[in-house]
Amino acid sequence: MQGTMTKKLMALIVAFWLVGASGVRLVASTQGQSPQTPPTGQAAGAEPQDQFVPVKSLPQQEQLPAAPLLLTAYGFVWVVLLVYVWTIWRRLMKVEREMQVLSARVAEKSGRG
Amino acid sequence: MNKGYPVLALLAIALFSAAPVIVAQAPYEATMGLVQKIFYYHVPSAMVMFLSALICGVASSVYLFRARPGADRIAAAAAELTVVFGLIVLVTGPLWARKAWGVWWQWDARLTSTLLMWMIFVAYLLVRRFGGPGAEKLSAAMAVFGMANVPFVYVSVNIWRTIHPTTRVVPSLAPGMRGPFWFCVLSFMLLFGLLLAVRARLEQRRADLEHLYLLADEE
Repeated sequence: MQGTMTKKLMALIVAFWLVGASGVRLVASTQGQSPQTPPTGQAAGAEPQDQFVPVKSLPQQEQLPAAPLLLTAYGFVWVVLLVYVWTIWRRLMKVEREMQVLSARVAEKSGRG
Repeated sequence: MNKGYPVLALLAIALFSAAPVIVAQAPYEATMGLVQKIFYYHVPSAMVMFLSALICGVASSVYLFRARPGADRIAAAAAELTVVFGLIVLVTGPLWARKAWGVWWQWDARLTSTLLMWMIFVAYLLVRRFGGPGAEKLSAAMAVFGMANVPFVYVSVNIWRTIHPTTRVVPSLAPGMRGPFWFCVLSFMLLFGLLLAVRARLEQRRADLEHLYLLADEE
Protein backbone atom coordinates (compact mmCIF):
# COMPACT_ATOMS: atom_id res chain seq x y z
CA MET A 1 0.00 0.00 0.00
CA GLN A 2 2.78 2.37 1.06
CA GLY A 3 4.87 1.39 -1.99
CA THR A 4 2.01 2.26 -4.31
CA MET A 5 1.57 5.64 -2.67
CA THR A 6 5.29 6.39 -3.03
CA LYS A 7 5.21 5.41 -6.71
CA LYS A 8 2.17 7.65 -7.31
CA LEU A 9 3.90 10.57 -5.52
CA MET A 10 7.09 10.09 -7.57
CA ALA A 11 5.04 9.98 -10.79
CA LEU A 12 3.29 13.20 -9.78
CA ILE A 13 6.61 14.99 -9.07
CA VAL A 14 8.06 13.84 -12.41
CA ALA A 15 4.89 15.00 -14.20
CA PHE A 16 5.09 18.47 -12.55
CA TRP A 17 8.78 18.72 -13.40
CA LEU A 18 8.14 17.82 -17.07
CA VAL A 19 5.26 20.32 -17.35
CA GLY A 20 7.36 23.01 -15.71
CA ALA A 21 10.39 22.39 -17.92
CA SER A 22 8.33 22.40 -21.12
CA GLY A 23 6.65 25.63 -19.97
CA VAL A 24 10.02 27.34 -19.48
CA ARG A 25 11.19 26.12 -22.90
CA LEU A 26 7.99 27.45 -24.48
CA VAL A 27 8.40 30.91 -22.90
CA ALA A 28 12.07 31.00 -23.91
CA SER A 29 11.30 30.09 -27.49
CA THR A 30 8.60 32.78 -27.76
CA GLN A 31 11.07 35.41 -26.44
CA GLY A 32 13.76 34.10 -28.78
CA GLN A 33 16.39 33.36 -26.15
CA SER A 34 17.67 30.39 -24.23
CA PRO A 35 16.58 29.93 -20.58
CA GLN A 36 20.22 29.19 -19.69
CA THR A 37 21.42 32.78 -20.47
CA PRO A 38 23.38 33.98 -17.37
CA PRO A 39 21.93 37.12 -15.76
CA THR A 40 25.14 39.16 -15.78
CA GLY A 41 25.59 42.91 -16.09
CA GLN A 42 27.57 42.49 -19.31
CA ALA A 43 26.12 43.24 -22.69
CA ALA A 44 25.19 40.18 -24.75
CA GLY A 45 28.12 39.00 -26.80
CA ALA A 46 30.69 41.13 -24.89
CA GLU A 47 33.93 39.54 -23.73
CA PRO A 48 34.29 39.12 -19.93
CA GLN A 49 36.45 41.88 -18.41
CA ASP A 50 39.88 40.69 -17.27
CA GLN A 51 41.60 44.09 -16.89
CA PHE A 52 40.68 47.48 -15.34
CA VAL A 53 41.70 50.51 -17.38
CA PRO A 54 42.32 53.71 -15.37
CA VAL A 55 41.11 57.12 -16.63
CA LYS A 56 41.93 60.62 -15.33
CA SER A 57 38.33 61.88 -15.14
CA LEU A 58 34.87 60.34 -15.13
CA PRO A 59 32.68 60.56 -18.23
CA GLN A 60 30.01 63.29 -17.96
CA GLN A 61 27.10 60.84 -17.51
CA GLU A 62 28.91 59.08 -14.62
CA GLN A 63 29.63 62.21 -12.58
CA LEU A 64 27.76 62.99 -9.34
CA PRO A 65 25.33 65.86 -10.04
CA ALA A 66 25.96 69.00 -7.96
CA ALA A 67 22.42 70.43 -7.97
CA PRO A 68 20.84 67.94 -5.50
CA LEU A 69 23.74 68.49 -3.05
CA LEU A 70 23.41 72.27 -3.35
CA LEU A 71 19.63 72.21 -2.93
CA THR A 72 19.91 69.84 0.03
CA ALA A 73 22.42 72.18 1.71
CA TYR A 74 20.25 75.29 1.21
CA GLY A 75 17.08 73.45 2.17
CA PHE A 76 18.73 72.09 5.31
CA VAL A 77 19.76 75.60 6.44
CA TRP A 78 16.19 76.88 6.00
CA VAL A 79 14.61 73.90 7.75
CA VAL A 80 17.01 74.04 10.72
CA LEU A 81 16.51 77.78 11.22
CA LEU A 82 12.72 77.60 10.88
CA VAL A 83 12.49 74.66 13.30
CA TYR A 84 14.76 76.49 15.76
CA VAL A 85 12.65 79.68 15.60
CA TRP A 86 9.54 77.57 16.13
CA THR A 87 11.05 75.85 19.20
CA ILE A 88 12.02 79.22 20.74
CA TRP A 89 8.52 80.57 20.13
CA ARG A 90 6.94 77.46 21.65
CA ARG A 91 9.17 77.58 24.76
CA LEU A 92 8.53 81.29 25.19
CA MET A 93 4.76 80.82 24.93
CA LYS A 94 4.89 78.00 27.49
CA VAL A 95 6.79 80.17 29.99
CA GLU A 96 4.42 83.11 29.42
CA ARG A 97 1.36 80.89 29.99
CA GLU A 98 2.86 79.47 33.16
CA MET A 99 3.66 82.99 34.38
CA GLN A 100 0.10 84.16 33.82
CA VAL A 101 -1.31 81.22 35.79
CA LEU A 102 1.18 81.71 38.61
CA SER A 103 0.69 85.49 38.75
CA ALA A 104 -3.06 84.99 39.05
CA ARG A 105 -2.51 82.47 41.85
CA VAL A 106 -0.13 84.81 43.74
CA ALA A 107 -2.52 87.75 43.35
CA GLU A 108 -5.42 85.61 44.59
CA LYS A 109 -3.42 84.49 47.65
CA SER A 110 -2.30 88.01 48.55
CA GLY A 111 -5.93 89.24 48.10
CA ARG A 112 -7.11 86.65 50.62
CA GLY A 113 -4.27 87.48 53.02
CA MET B 1 9.49 92.80 23.95
CA ASN B 2 11.51 95.44 22.09
CA LYS B 3 9.48 97.11 19.32
CA GLY B 4 12.46 97.01 16.97
CA TYR B 5 12.45 93.19 16.89
CA PRO B 6 9.60 92.74 14.35
CA VAL B 7 11.27 95.23 11.98
CA LEU B 8 14.61 93.44 12.29
CA ALA B 9 12.88 90.07 11.88
CA LEU B 10 11.21 91.24 8.66
CA LEU B 11 14.54 92.58 7.40
CA ALA B 12 16.24 89.26 8.19
CA ILE B 13 13.49 87.33 6.34
CA ALA B 14 13.83 89.67 3.34
CA LEU B 15 17.62 89.25 3.27
CA PHE B 16 17.35 85.48 3.61
CA SER B 17 14.78 85.30 0.82
CA ALA B 18 16.94 87.42 -1.49
CA ALA B 19 20.14 85.50 -0.71
CA PRO B 20 19.53 82.49 -3.05
CA VAL B 21 18.72 84.87 -5.93
CA ILE B 22 21.92 86.86 -5.36
CA VAL B 23 23.97 83.69 -4.94
CA ALA B 24 22.57 82.31 -8.22
CA GLN B 25 23.97 85.36 -10.03
CA ALA B 26 27.48 84.85 -8.59
CA PRO B 27 30.02 83.32 -11.02
CA TYR B 28 30.87 79.61 -10.89
CA GLU B 29 34.20 78.53 -9.43
CA ALA B 30 36.60 77.13 -12.06
CA THR B 31 37.34 73.69 -10.57
CA MET B 32 34.31 72.96 -8.38
CA GLY B 33 31.52 74.49 -10.48
CA LEU B 34 27.97 74.66 -9.12
CA VAL B 35 28.58 72.89 -5.80
CA GLN B 36 30.97 75.68 -4.68
CA LYS B 37 27.88 77.84 -4.13
CA ILE B 38 27.36 75.98 -0.83
CA PHE B 39 30.23 78.24 0.30
CA TYR B 40 27.81 81.23 0.52
CA TYR B 41 25.87 79.54 3.36
CA HIS B 42 28.61 77.32 4.80
CA VAL B 43 31.20 80.03 5.59
CA PRO B 44 28.77 82.63 7.05
CA SER B 45 27.36 79.84 9.28
CA ALA B 46 30.91 79.05 10.42
CA MET B 47 31.57 82.75 11.13
CA VAL B 48 28.40 82.95 13.21
CA MET B 49 29.35 79.74 15.01
CA PHE B 50 32.76 81.23 15.93
CA LEU B 51 31.20 84.51 17.06
CA SER B 52 28.59 82.69 19.11
CA ALA B 53 31.23 80.50 20.78
CA LEU B 54 33.27 83.61 21.64
CA ILE B 55 30.22 85.36 23.12
CA CYS B 56 29.38 82.24 25.11
CA GLY B 57 32.95 81.97 26.44
CA VAL B 58 33.23 85.65 27.39
CA ALA B 59 29.78 85.68 29.05
CA SER B 60 30.65 82.47 30.93
CA SER B 61 33.92 84.02 32.16
CA VAL B 62 31.99 87.06 33.42
CA TYR B 63 29.54 84.73 35.17
CA LEU B 64 32.34 82.68 36.73
CA PHE B 65 34.44 85.62 37.99
CA ARG B 66 31.79 88.27 38.64
CA ALA B 67 28.78 86.02 39.41
CA ARG B 68 26.37 87.96 37.18
CA PRO B 69 23.23 85.95 36.35
CA GLY B 70 22.58 88.06 33.24
CA ALA B 71 25.90 86.93 31.76
CA ASP B 72 24.92 83.31 32.38
CA ARG B 73 21.67 83.81 30.49
CA ILE B 74 23.51 85.26 27.49
CA ALA B 75 26.00 82.37 27.65
CA ALA B 76 23.17 79.80 27.61
CA ALA B 77 21.59 81.51 24.59
CA ALA B 78 24.90 81.75 22.74
CA ALA B 79 25.77 78.10 23.46
CA GLU B 80 22.50 76.93 21.91
CA LEU B 81 23.13 79.08 18.84
CA THR B 82 26.67 77.72 18.55
CA VAL B 83 25.17 74.23 18.38
CA VAL B 84 22.53 75.25 15.81
CA PHE B 85 24.94 77.05 13.47
CA GLY B 86 27.59 74.39 14.08
CA LEU B 87 25.10 71.78 12.91
CA ILE B 88 24.58 73.77 9.71
CA VAL B 89 28.36 73.93 9.18
CA LEU B 90 28.81 70.21 9.85
CA VAL B 91 26.04 69.22 7.42
CA THR B 92 26.63 71.67 4.56
CA GLY B 93 30.40 70.98 4.63
CA PRO B 94 30.12 67.25 3.86
CA LEU B 95 27.52 67.96 1.14
CA TRP B 96 30.10 70.21 -0.52
CA ALA B 97 32.96 67.77 0.16
CA ARG B 98 31.14 64.82 -1.41
CA LYS B 99 31.31 66.50 -4.81
CA ALA B 100 34.54 68.47 -4.42
CA TRP B 101 36.70 65.83 -2.66
CA GLY B 102 34.79 62.65 -3.48
CA VAL B 103 34.23 61.84 0.22
CA TRP B 104 31.70 62.98 2.82
CA TRP B 105 34.22 63.38 5.61
CA GLN B 106 37.97 63.60 6.12
CA TRP B 107 39.59 63.32 9.56
CA ASP B 108 41.85 66.32 9.01
CA ALA B 109 42.68 69.13 11.47
CA ARG B 110 39.89 71.55 10.42
CA LEU B 111 37.02 69.09 10.28
CA THR B 112 38.02 67.19 13.41
CA SER B 113 38.62 70.31 15.51
CA THR B 114 35.29 71.80 14.37
CA LEU B 115 33.49 68.61 15.36
CA LEU B 116 35.22 68.62 18.76
CA MET B 117 34.31 72.25 19.37
CA TRP B 118 30.70 71.55 18.45
CA MET B 119 30.66 68.57 20.82
CA ILE B 120 31.95 70.75 23.68
CA PHE B 121 28.95 73.05 23.24
CA VAL B 122 26.55 70.10 22.97
CA ALA B 123 28.07 68.88 26.26
CA TYR B 124 27.54 72.39 27.71
CA LEU B 125 23.81 72.16 26.96
CA LEU B 126 23.55 68.61 28.31
CA VAL B 127 25.32 69.56 31.55
CA ARG B 128 23.03 72.57 31.98
CA ARG B 129 19.93 70.47 31.32
CA PHE B 130 20.76 67.37 33.36
CA GLY B 131 23.64 68.44 35.65
CA GLY B 132 21.45 69.29 38.66
CA PRO B 133 22.33 72.05 41.18
CA GLY B 134 25.56 73.90 40.39
CA ALA B 135 25.52 72.81 36.75
CA GLU B 136 25.64 76.46 35.60
CA LYS B 137 29.18 76.90 36.92
CA LEU B 138 30.41 73.62 35.53
CA SER B 139 28.95 74.38 32.11
CA ALA B 140 30.42 77.90 32.23
CA ALA B 141 33.88 76.38 32.69
CA MET B 142 33.21 74.13 29.69
CA ALA B 143 32.24 77.15 27.61
CA VAL B 144 35.61 78.79 28.39
CA PHE B 145 37.33 75.68 26.98
CA GLY B 146 35.02 75.78 23.98
CA MET B 147 35.93 79.41 23.35
CA ALA B 148 39.65 78.58 23.60
CA ASN B 149 39.12 76.21 20.67
CA VAL B 150 37.96 78.96 18.29
CA PRO B 151 41.38 80.37 17.23
CA PHE B 152 42.74 76.82 17.01
CA VAL B 153 39.95 75.77 14.62
CA TYR B 154 40.37 78.96 12.57
CA VAL B 155 44.14 78.66 11.97
CA SER B 156 44.19 74.86 11.70
CA VAL B 157 43.90 75.02 7.89
CA ASN B 158 46.99 77.22 7.66
CA ILE B 159 49.16 75.21 10.05
CA TRP B 160 48.39 71.59 9.20
CA ARG B 161 48.23 69.87 5.84
CA THR B 162 44.57 69.56 4.90
CA ILE B 163 42.38 69.49 1.79
CA HIS B 164 40.04 72.12 3.28
CA PRO B 165 40.46 75.60 1.66
CA THR B 166 42.64 77.97 3.69
CA THR B 167 41.63 81.25 5.39
CA ARG B 168 43.17 83.17 2.46
CA VAL B 169 40.17 82.30 0.26
CA VAL B 170 37.77 84.92 1.68
CA PRO B 171 40.12 87.97 1.46
CA SER B 172 41.06 87.01 -2.10
CA LEU B 173 37.51 86.50 -3.40
CA ALA B 174 36.81 87.73 -6.95
CA PRO B 175 34.60 90.87 -7.11
CA GLY B 176 31.66 88.86 -8.48
CA MET B 177 31.79 86.50 -5.52
CA ARG B 178 32.60 89.10 -2.86
CA GLY B 179 29.21 90.89 -3.00
CA PRO B 180 26.99 87.78 -2.62
CA PHE B 181 29.29 86.43 0.09
CA TRP B 182 29.17 89.55 2.30
CA PHE B 183 25.43 89.83 1.65
CA CYS B 184 25.01 86.32 3.08
CA VAL B 185 27.31 87.18 6.01
CA LEU B 186 25.13 90.22 6.77
CA SER B 187 21.96 88.08 6.61
CA PHE B 188 23.39 85.45 8.94
CA MET B 189 24.76 88.04 11.40
CA LEU B 190 21.44 89.87 11.56
CA LEU B 191 19.57 86.64 12.13
CA PHE B 192 22.08 85.60 14.77
CA GLY B 193 21.69 88.92 16.65
CA LEU B 194 17.92 88.53 16.64
CA LEU B 195 17.95 84.90 17.73
CA LEU B 196 20.44 85.68 20.50
CA ALA B 197 18.24 88.49 21.83
CA VAL B 198 15.07 86.38 21.72
CA ARG B 199 16.76 83.33 23.22
CA ALA B 200 18.30 85.43 26.03
CA ARG B 201 14.85 86.83 26.69
CA LEU B 202 13.53 83.30 27.07
CA GLU B 203 16.18 82.68 29.76
CA GLN B 204 15.19 85.97 31.44
CA ARG B 205 11.52 84.93 31.52
CA ARG B 206 12.47 81.53 32.93
CA ALA B 207 14.38 83.28 35.71
CA ASP B 208 11.31 85.49 36.36
CA LEU B 209 9.13 82.40 36.52
CA GLU B 210 11.46 80.74 39.01
CA HIS B 211 11.33 83.89 41.16
CA LEU B 212 7.53 83.86 40.98
CA TYR B 213 7.45 80.20 42.09
CA LEU B 214 9.58 81.11 45.12
CA LEU B 215 7.22 83.98 45.88
CA ALA B 216 4.19 81.68 45.61
CA ASP B 217 5.81 79.19 47.98
CA GLU B 218 6.57 81.88 50.57
CA GLU B 219 3.00 83.17 50.73
